[in-house]
Amino acid sequence: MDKGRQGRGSGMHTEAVGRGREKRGGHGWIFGLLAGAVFFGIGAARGELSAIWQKAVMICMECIGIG
Amino acid sequence: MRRIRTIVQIIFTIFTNGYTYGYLHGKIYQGKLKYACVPGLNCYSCPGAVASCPLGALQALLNRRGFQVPFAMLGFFFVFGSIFGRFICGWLCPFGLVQDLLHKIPVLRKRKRLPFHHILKYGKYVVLVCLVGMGSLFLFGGFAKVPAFCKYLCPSGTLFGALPLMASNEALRGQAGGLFFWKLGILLILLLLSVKVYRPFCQYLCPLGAIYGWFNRFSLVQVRWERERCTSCKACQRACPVDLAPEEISRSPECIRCGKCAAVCPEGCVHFSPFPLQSGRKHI
Repeated sequence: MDKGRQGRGSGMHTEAVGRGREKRGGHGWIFGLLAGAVFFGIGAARGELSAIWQKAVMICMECIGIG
Repeated sequence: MRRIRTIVQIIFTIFTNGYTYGYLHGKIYQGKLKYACVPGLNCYSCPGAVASCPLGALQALLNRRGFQVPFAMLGFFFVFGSIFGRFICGWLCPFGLVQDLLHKIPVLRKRKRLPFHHILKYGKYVVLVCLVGMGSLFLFGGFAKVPAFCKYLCPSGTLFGALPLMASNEALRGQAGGLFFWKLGILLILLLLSVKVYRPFCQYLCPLGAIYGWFNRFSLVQVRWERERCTSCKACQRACPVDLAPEEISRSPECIRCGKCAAVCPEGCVHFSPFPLQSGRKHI
């Protein structure tokens, strides 16, 4: 057994779990990205970007501790 | 790596806060770029800000009459979180940069974490649920809902918004009251604490970090650790500013992908990579 395998969390079970997680997490970002694009599209269609813009172009009194 | 990160942080901060006219005249940018948000915590009332703050935008949507799901901001967080995770905290957040710079000041013995870290680290989730979520939905100032996080806690708004605006706008300066000094106190405590402890706001209070942290486990940008090549020397853990063990790097919601672990690994088995790597494969 080499030195690396004596390290923390290097048991066979942990290794298998680690690899399993790696596989599962490998392409999760693609689904996240697609879901994000869909959510963003729904929000934009409902006029939410305008609501954000209207708030952002006025000095936010709460943000600067006055309101 | 450390120098590259600092340069990226500075360039990004200047780029997203480059509206010089605002600093000179005590006004804020009102153009169309504010339809979009920057990924990091960056108050949209900063006179230099050219885009919106994601947390401010989220609260603006939650502050609308009734309850409507804030789809646009959910989408924004899913897109940026899925690609970057907390890489945004480490590389693209202006308030993170401020804390990083303060922590470099060579006074006091540095600490990675506060005592009771294992409990305090959940503070950012409490802030997210109670202030950003419930606070923005149910807390009223007069007849209107208030953005509770921005109003009572956000140190970025005080540092990048309130102080420069008040410095150049006398009318605003005259209105500073108890709330302003409350927020100024929070800012000063966090800035002073940053000299001693690594990024206390990011580790314990930032709701944006809580959101992006959830994406860390599957985001595209990852810091990969090759278990098979690791000699357990712990150089990465010693270098990690938030004290993560090798197996926690990248997937932990606390990892901000600063890359210090990758820079110090003598075996080269920790590195930035978007995809899982085969053992023994060469990396650039």
